[in-house]
Amino acid sequence: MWEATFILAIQQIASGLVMGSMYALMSIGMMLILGIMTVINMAHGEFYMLGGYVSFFLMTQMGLPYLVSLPVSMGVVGAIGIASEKMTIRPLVGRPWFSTFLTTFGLSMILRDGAQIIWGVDPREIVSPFSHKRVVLGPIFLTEHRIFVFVVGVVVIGLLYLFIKKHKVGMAMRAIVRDREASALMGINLNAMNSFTFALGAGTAALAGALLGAIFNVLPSMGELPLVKGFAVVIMGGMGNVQGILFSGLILGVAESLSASFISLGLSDAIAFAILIIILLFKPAGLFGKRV
Amino acid sequence: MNRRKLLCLSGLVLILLLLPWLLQAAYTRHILVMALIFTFSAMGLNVIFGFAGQTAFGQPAFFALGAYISSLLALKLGFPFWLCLLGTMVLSAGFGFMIGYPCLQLRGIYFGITTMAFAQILYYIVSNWVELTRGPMGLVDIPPASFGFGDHFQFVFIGELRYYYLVLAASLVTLFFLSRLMETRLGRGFVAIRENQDLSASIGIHPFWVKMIAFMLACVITGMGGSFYAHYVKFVSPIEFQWYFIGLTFIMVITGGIGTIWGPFIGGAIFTVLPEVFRAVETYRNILVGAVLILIVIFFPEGIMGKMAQWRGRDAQPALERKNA
Amino acid sequence: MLETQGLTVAFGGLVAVNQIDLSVSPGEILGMIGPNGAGKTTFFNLLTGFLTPTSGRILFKGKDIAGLPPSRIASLGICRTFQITSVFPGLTVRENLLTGTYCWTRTLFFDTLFHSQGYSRQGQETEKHAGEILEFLHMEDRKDTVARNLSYGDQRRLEIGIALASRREFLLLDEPAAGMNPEETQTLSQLIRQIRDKGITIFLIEHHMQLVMGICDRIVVLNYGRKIAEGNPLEISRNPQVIEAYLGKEEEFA
Repeated sequence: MWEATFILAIQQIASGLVMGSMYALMSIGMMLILGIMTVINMAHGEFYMLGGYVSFFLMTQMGLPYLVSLPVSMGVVGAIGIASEKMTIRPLVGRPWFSTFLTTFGLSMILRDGAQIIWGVDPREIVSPFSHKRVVLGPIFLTEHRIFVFVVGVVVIGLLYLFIKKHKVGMAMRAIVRDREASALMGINLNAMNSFTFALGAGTAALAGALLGAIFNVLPSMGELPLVKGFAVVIMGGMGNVQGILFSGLILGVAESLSASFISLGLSDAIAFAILIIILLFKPAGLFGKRV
Repeated sequence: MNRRKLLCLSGLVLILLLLPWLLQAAYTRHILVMALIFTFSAMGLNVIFGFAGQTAFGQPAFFALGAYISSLLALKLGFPFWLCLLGTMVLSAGFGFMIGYPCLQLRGIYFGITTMAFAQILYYIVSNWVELTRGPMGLVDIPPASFGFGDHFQFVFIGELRYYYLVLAASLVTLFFLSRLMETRLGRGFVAIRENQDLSASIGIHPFWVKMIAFMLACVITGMGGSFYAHYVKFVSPIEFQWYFIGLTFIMVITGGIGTIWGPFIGGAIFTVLPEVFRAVETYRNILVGAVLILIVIFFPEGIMGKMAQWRGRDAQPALERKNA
Repeated sequence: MLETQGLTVAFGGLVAVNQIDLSVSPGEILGMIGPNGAGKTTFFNLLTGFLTPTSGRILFKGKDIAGLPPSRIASLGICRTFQITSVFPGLTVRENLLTGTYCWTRTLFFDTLFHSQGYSRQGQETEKHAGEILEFLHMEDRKDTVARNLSYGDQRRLEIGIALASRREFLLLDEPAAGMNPEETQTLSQLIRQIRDKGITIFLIEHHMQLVMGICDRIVVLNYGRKIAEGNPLEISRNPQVIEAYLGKEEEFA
């Protein structure tokens, strides 16, 4: 009996890690936008949603294979991100943080209803080439697709980490977070960096949406919950810390998974927030929070 | 108060009193009532966010909480409306204290997200505690608001007209109360903490307790709105806890003019009426509301009240923290 | 008026303030100097409740105030300014001063609700007090300027004004002359003397030697968290240990 419970637990941990990697992927984009642009992007969930829809659209209408639709979807949503940034964030330079909070909120309303108009309310299903084949790993099994999702997630996050640490542009981003004015004086083009960061955030969110869209269905409202959880992960992981976000995302995914099967499905969504509260009360700067 | 201000105020109150007579359609009156009810949510948030400067993301969830408390007091305990309202105010303060206590150990955005976390947890508790709240099906057949003594004299508030005046009276009283509150040293304490918490502490203002009072007061006012909502619409469901409502409340407070007295009232009215105005183009409704929101934020930096103050040649009220974007 | 006994605070292995005994007499101007990192602001933070001491006592008018929260200490009679300019940025100069009157104003809510006589009397009193401070600081012309738009020197003066508005008997000034040019420093010296003449005890931290030597009755010198000297300005300027502590630093002596 215990063995069955144990196996179930491992199974849930495995699928929790998959979800967690996607939470982390979304949250990294949010954290970058928050840290570099001081913007709380309320439309981030909608970029996630658009990633799913664009991928679906590319596959069904244009016949692109799933694997190709992923980067193209990232590009398209990234472009939407750049356009959005010009209209809803650029005009508000110098204004208090809640100005962009509201305009991105308005943006999210526009994007969500726009998607609804174009694609309707019915859920869509993305068919991934990995969809239904199962892989048996010891006592547990996962679909190939879920393994694919996890691998892509971790690889992309790893690439982002290296990018921020080593690449010239990544270092520019870190410089801006440290001292915005000084960075501008050193010749860093703040406007270009803002657009780039926003596009990067939108693109990674889109990737998460396209990946998860093949597990869950694609709906206009699918971005709502990931948005709030994403912020919880950002706070939990601590600002400026890619590893922190990765771990927090994974922890969250696993906690949700375990509580869904061992406690109750309904309350598993609430777990994220309970964990957040507990963590913040003991470590007010987040699990791995430290000044950048 | 000087003559001009008094005149403007009287004019405004007069218009508000006459509004239902000018707009006789039942549906229009309904929108007016809803607008007034939702201003309570904005007025409440404004106390903790506008006056005290604390970004309590989860605070508007107390609207739904108040609605549920009021409904349960009526349905399970058979309280008359006025007792439900009173009970809601007291219990909202109590919940405000319980939730505020852990949250206020933190500052800034951490405080904000923690309040949000509590709001989400409340949502899930309400959705899932089916024995008490009927879960997603919600509570129905909530008795309408009424005032009366015993079985002899019962004045029931049925119909938009009566309800309009009831809620209008309540919101005007609340506005009056708030404007006087901000002239007490407690009110000045709120603003001081918003402007500089450490300096406030060193001149005798106790940050934790002053913030707590602001938070509890915000929850009481927001909860009142929830109570009015429950006894008007006569149906509550977990939907009102959702993020969309929270975001909408922030929109109301900020676009109206954060930290002003009338700002939340105006913002609340606009953002209840606006979606209705666009109802004709149902599918594009949110797109239009979103677009209007973006335009208002871009062109009215200090909110609508701020813009009006500028037109009258004064510095916008009260000034906001500016950070580089 | 104020006395510390063996006051110590340690953060992990680092002892920032080490067994400091000192006392401040009513009506005097005491200066605290020392190289950067000597623990001066930490000492102030201990006195004002922003830090809790690891050991030792702080006696204010005979009562031990160590570990009390800042707002409580303020209500007992101590007010401080900060190293980094601290004002209420979004409020006007006048509003800043009015806010400073918090600890001694008390209006019943009932009075405010109906704007009764008690309310207007209180309002007049605070306005008058604020007006007096404006005059004292020579800032009447700027009374409706929003604080964040003031010049640096004006903001620093406003900071002192807010402390004055609180009508506390004991003022702690943390580097009030930081960033000021010689002319402004002169005006500041005069201001501080005038404040003392009103009967307020002043304890200040400073690096500007001319200011310190010029107005302080006594000086305490800190180095590495310890008190290394105490005495009047003349004695201090001749103290070999003090000179050694500052050797190699670019400070000027009186």
